Amino acid sequence: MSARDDDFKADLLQGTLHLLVLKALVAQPLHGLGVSNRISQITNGTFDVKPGSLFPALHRMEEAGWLKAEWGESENKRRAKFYSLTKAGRRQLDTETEDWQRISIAMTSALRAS
Amino acid sequence: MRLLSRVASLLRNTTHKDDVERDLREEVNSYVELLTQEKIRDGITEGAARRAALVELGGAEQVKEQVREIRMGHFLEMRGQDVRYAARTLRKSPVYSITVALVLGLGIGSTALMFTIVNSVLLKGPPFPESDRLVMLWQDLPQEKHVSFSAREFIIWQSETRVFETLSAFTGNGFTITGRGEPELAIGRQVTPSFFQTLRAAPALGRTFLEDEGTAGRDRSVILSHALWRDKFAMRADVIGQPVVMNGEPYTVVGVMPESFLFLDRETKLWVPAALDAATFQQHFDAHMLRVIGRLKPGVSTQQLQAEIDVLGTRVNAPEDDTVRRFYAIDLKEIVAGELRQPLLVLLAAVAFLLLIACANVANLMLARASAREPEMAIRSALGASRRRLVLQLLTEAALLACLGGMLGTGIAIWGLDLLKLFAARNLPELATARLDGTALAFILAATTTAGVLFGLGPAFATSRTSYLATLKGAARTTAASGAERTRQVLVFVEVALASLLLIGCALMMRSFVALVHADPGFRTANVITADAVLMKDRYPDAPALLQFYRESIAAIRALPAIDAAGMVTHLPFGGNSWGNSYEVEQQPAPAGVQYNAQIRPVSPGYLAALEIPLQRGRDVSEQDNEKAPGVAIVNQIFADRFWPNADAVGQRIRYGRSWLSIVGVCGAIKHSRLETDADAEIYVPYPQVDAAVMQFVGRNLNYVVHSASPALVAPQLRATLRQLDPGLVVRVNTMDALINDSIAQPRFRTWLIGIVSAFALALACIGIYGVIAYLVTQRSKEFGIRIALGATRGNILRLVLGRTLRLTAAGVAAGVVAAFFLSRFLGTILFGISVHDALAFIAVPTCLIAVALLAGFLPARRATHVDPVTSLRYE
Repeated sequence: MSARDDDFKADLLQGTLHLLVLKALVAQPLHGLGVSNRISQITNGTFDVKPGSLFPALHRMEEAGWLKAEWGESENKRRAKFYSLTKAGRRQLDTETEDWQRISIAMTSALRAS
Repeated sequence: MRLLSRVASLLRNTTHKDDVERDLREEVNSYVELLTQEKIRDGITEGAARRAALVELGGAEQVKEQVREIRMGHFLEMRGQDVRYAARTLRKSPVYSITVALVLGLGIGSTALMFTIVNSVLLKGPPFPESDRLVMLWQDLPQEKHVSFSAREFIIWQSETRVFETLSAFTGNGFTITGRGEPELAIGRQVTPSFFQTLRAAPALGRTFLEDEGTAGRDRSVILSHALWRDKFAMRADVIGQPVVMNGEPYTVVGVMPESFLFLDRETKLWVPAALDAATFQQHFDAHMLRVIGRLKPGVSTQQLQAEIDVLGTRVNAPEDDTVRRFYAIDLKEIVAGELRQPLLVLLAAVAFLLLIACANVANLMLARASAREPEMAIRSALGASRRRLVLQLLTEAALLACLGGMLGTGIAIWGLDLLKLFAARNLPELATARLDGTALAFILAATTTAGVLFGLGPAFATSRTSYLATLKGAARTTAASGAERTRQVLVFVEVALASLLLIGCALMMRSFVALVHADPGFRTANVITADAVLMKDRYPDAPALLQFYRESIAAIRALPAIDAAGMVTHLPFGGNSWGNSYEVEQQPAPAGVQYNAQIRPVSPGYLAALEIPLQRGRDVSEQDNEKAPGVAIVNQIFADRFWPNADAVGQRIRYGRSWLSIVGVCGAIKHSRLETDADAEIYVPYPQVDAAVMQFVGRNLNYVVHSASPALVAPQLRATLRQLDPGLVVRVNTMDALINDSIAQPRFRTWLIGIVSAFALALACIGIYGVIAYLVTQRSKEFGIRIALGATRGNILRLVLGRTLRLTAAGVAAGVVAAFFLSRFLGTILFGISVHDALAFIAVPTCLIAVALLAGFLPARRATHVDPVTSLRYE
């Protein structure tokens, strides 16, 4: 694979990852591993988010004010940092979903065009 | 609450890096832990599960590093954006930005300047190592306060002290340096050899004095000041060991002091050893002419020092001398600060008030601007900017302004200090070494930061509270805005109160200064020229030689054309010297333990007339009152009233030396060294009748006093006449007015300073009033429009706005006057001739302030009357 392919994939993932994390957190607050598992679950295993990209994304989104983090206890009584959506995060999810749907429709129609 | 937690998280990010770091580490660890648990649940052994989890993590450090980069990058990017945006915003409203920066700069700069001066003069103390152990000793005699030591007292004390590491004495003397270009008169100090050791002052070149240089015959060494080394010796390094002739005697240069050496005054140009066993000191063993400075041993307490003072104070008396003395010590630090303490603290308080006014003003400007920007903020908020971003944005703007103000302030402080040094270094020698040091810079930094945060946070929160919906709808400024307006009115109230307090203080000091300038010294000063010559021992070894020169010179000067009165005195009023002595009054012996002391002035006939000192009774001294004639004296009114309140002083006899003197006249009392202090008891004696031995001491400085209608013409003639009699003579010509003027240089200086500070305060208060009224007018322009439409005249509107201004100002002025009434007593010690509750100051200042405030309110008020009802109603 060439370097250009790498960049492209990363860019794509960046946008997607935010959307996926937002989506994963809609139902309930989750810790890092929970987010990772949830994404894996809702994408039927297509996306397996590694910590190397997950944590930077979580922190970036926290800085942007979309997520807020709190220390809490995991299901098996371990200390873990839980992320949840803020109001701005929910708005962001709506915007990004809309954007994504637009792009997705555009892309699909573009690819179908002969 | 959320906003607060945001700000808190931001602070945590930047200030508590360690906490953030720990948080991140724990988060990653917890992830590994949870993943391991998950894998164990899937049936893998614990060890294998942990390894697998770590592999999946892909290196804990790399993950953390990536997160750190994100955090930092985001923070920097946002702040960079804020700064760029803030700079752009401020550039777009230059008047506002420049005003705020100027106001802040003035406040910070003048406070830093004053702080630097106070710090260098009051706090830092004298420029010697461990200067807190340096004290000077004095004594109070029954009739005279603050008297120096005699050689006897010093020698006894020095040999018996237990608390002093070293004890040194010094006395002043004039030295005429000859043989190196023009003869020059330099002020020198005779010091006991340990003097420099006591101060712990090291020479720049050569050495200080050795112990045996304090004995007669070995005392011909001299240490030069940096200034003398520069002026007379061209700063040559080989000056050590060179011969120099002073007062006709050969001396050898043994050392040069550094430029920074400064002890009590800047005038001293050289130091020679004081040999206390030499004839001059032995002949006047009980004359109080030595000032004493000592370095206490480490750890000596005030009580221990007092104990020694109590013990030794009784031991220093000469046999058969039963004078009751009270010795005391004063820290050198106190002496250096001394008289300056009160004025400097007053000035510091004044500039602190100025800083407060500046702060209030800036807050006011920012609040006004914040409300003007409500729509902008509302739009940005509606477009998705979080409150935190808006607050940070406003904070950044405030910080940027504070930085500008801080820079301006630093400039003002540096420039102002240079300016002050130029004008005031002579009155305030410590100022020469004053520098804008770390402490002052730290102060500027602290002031700037506080200002930035305070002025940013206030308006920021005010803005973030407002309802954007309402603002956007244009319903605007009902509840939130009126809160801000109240704040602004309180700020103006504080400003006006502080300004009137300052202005009253300023008015008091100015009135006091005017009183000082017009204070009557008791003699004529206009068109009086003085010429001062010092007759040195080498050319005038004894009393006959001195008398010969005196007679020739006074005759030559009287013969000058265009002179209508001339006289001579050894100790000229406001000339910097005085001579006090103890005396006796015939038939009125002093009570046991009491010594009468008075100022003694050897004069020529005609001296009193030349200065127009009124002769109230009897006659002036005459040429017939010579060294062979029976002794006579003239006493001043204070003296006469003390001893003969109901009888005639003329004909009575007094004695200050060996023989009795008949009082032949009574004259008016004059002020001798300061206009602020009361006149002293004085005895005038004919110069030729001064005891030959005493004349050696006090008769060498002849001050000629001449009155002429054309002083400019006479001054050069006076110098020429004296130089003709003795070409080696150093003659200083002055006018009496200039001498008196010099004596009030310090009060003048501080009056100027407080005047400047008060002018700034007044200007700032006016800006504040103008701002509030102008805002009020803008805000209520619709209302004014309606009023005008309904038939209100321009006069009605004008009265309405001005009435508001008056209410705003009057409250502040009233508060200021009340505060001034209670605080003005702190000015008590530096005021002269007026009461601290001087009616004029307390009436004139409030009146002027209200007038100026009305003027400031008039501009916007006039604008209000020009509101066009159609335009203002169209928007409704």
